[in-house]
Amino acid sequence: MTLTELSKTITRYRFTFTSEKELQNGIATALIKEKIPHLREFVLNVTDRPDFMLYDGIVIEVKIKGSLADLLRQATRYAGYDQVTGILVVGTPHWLSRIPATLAGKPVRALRLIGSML
Amino acid sequence: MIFGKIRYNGGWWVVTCEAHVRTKLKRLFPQVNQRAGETIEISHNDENCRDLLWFLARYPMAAERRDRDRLRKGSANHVELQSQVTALLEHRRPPDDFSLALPAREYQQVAASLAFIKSGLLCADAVGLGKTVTGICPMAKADHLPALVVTLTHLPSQWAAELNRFAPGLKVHILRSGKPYDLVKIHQRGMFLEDEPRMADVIISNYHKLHGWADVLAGLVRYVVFDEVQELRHTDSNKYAAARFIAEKARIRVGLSATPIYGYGVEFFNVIEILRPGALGTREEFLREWCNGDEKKITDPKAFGEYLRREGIMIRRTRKEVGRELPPVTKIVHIVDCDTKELDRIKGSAVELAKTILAAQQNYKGEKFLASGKFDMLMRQATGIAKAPYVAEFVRMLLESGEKVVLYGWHREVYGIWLEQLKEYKPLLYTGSESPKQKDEAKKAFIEGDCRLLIISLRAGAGLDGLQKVCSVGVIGELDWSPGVHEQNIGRIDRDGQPDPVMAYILLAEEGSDPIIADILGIKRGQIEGVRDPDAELIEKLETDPGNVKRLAEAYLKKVGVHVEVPEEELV
Repeated sequence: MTLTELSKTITRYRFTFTSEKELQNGIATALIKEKIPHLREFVLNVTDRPDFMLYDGIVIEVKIKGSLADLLRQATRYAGYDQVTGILVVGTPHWLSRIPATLAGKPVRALRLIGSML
Repeated sequence: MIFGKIRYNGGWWVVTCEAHVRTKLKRLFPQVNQRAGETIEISHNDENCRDLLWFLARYPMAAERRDRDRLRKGSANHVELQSQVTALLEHRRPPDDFSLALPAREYQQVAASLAFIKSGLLCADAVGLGKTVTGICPMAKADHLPALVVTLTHLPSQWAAELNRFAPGLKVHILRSGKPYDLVKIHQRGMFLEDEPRMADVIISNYHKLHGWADVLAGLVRYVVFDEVQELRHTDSNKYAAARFIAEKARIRVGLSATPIYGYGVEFFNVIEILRPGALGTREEFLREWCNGDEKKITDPKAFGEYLRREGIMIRRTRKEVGRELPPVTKIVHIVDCDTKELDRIKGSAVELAKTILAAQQNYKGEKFLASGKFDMLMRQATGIAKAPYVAEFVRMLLESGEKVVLYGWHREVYGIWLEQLKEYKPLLYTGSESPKQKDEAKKAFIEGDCRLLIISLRAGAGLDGLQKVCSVGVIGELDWSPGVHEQNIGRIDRDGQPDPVMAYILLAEEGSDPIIADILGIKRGQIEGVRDPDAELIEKLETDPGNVKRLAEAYLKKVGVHVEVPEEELV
């Protein structure tokens, strides 16, 4: 599954959430419905735990607040692991559109859940 | 063993006790002032009486007989009313019987009965479920008359018509001016009285006239309905003070709105304070208990929502819950182009304003406030204008497919562009600038006449009924800062009587103010939806795929005779 396919799949749902945790739960439900195997809070290292790890090495990080700089630091760390093949950032902040297409040689995609915000 | 003493003092319970008991009390009552001090104060209401009595069973304290009686009475009252609320909500007792000319639905009677039990209620049933009838139910009992209906400026005649349908026996009077006049006017012709002078049973006012009439109406009306009660979400207005004054002296108060707040959670306090004074404690207590010290955001909206329901303060039913499901609304967020020239034009002044807003110095305070307002206006207007031509073309596509369309906007300049570009569809305006009469005419022309496009101001349409019979397509052409406003607007066509599946298009630009507004909308949506629908599903599958708009475009091109090759996979 490519990053584009994955983000298209997630776009087909509208999420209701009041916290990051709830959005994660929502995405988990969607992944299960779509029969996409995944692990939650996958431990890469003591400090690095992406919200979702898919079987083919794609990680999903969920963000509803924080800053672009923090996210970039976090994503760059994830990209440094061999297991990670791509990163999808899902969430609401407006800076998601400014995420670069690759980090440390790994493809990165951002998905802003506009449909869930309006 | 006695741990301290408790006494009642002017609306407050004052507890003086041993330090360790004080700590315990603070933990159990998160709403009290958590700072160090000899005494703890808790506001007086039935619920707090019950909780305090329970606490006193564990840590007995000295109290005067009078105060003990007051505690017991409040507590017993809470037990009694609470069991009635539960019995009603769990369908163990039938709702009261309200005899109206047309029978009210059961869920409407349940809400009205609940309002009786606790003397006040916030009814937040989903848009278009018939909250007006819920509000009319209590008027079937003579001891709730005269009643007062307070509604938005464009809705008194709609209310009068509904009252006429459901309770034709009641004499209805719509207030004509903001200055009080004699409500029992004697019509005299020659020597004979025309008819027996009689006070109206139901007085209908809009929110703005309330201020002038407060002194006359307070104590006179026994039952008050606040329609679209989100109008009372801010406290700093004359209408709020007037509403509060009148509400306090009425026997029953009902607030109706599917979207009781437009912004942050604290607005719930303001609204509920009118309908059930004191039920949430004081404002400070509320902020401490529910907002965790934050000034406006409720920390756990779901828990707050559950509490409101359990206490019978708010009732909210969705279409599904009352078995009146309509075909689902398809909400489509579509990115439209925008003309960046317009945004470039304001760049200079926008930068100056932005600098003022972000300036750190304290002495800019007043200026900052003004600058924020100006900046908001400037950016939103520029964004609106920048995307207006593209919005108009999008709407043309919908109109061409034979639909009638309601289009929502905010700025006059934007309306101007739309009116010009879409003039062949005979567009009419329904905004703040039209008189109630012009609005009624526009509505009529849209429903019965050849007007195919109704342009409604984002904040002028709440509560409007009737469009759903002829139109199932809504377009939000400019964004509002509040998700409740969008919901209200979609609710104009997604309501009882709508035969077709509703399509709601939200048109978004990727430049200007839209991206930022979308962010804020996300936060605010969490606040209201958490409180209203704590058990809502975390996800819903969207009914159509994102290719829907492309299909529409394709159909349009075909119609106007332009041939474009569209690769099949593009439509997915």
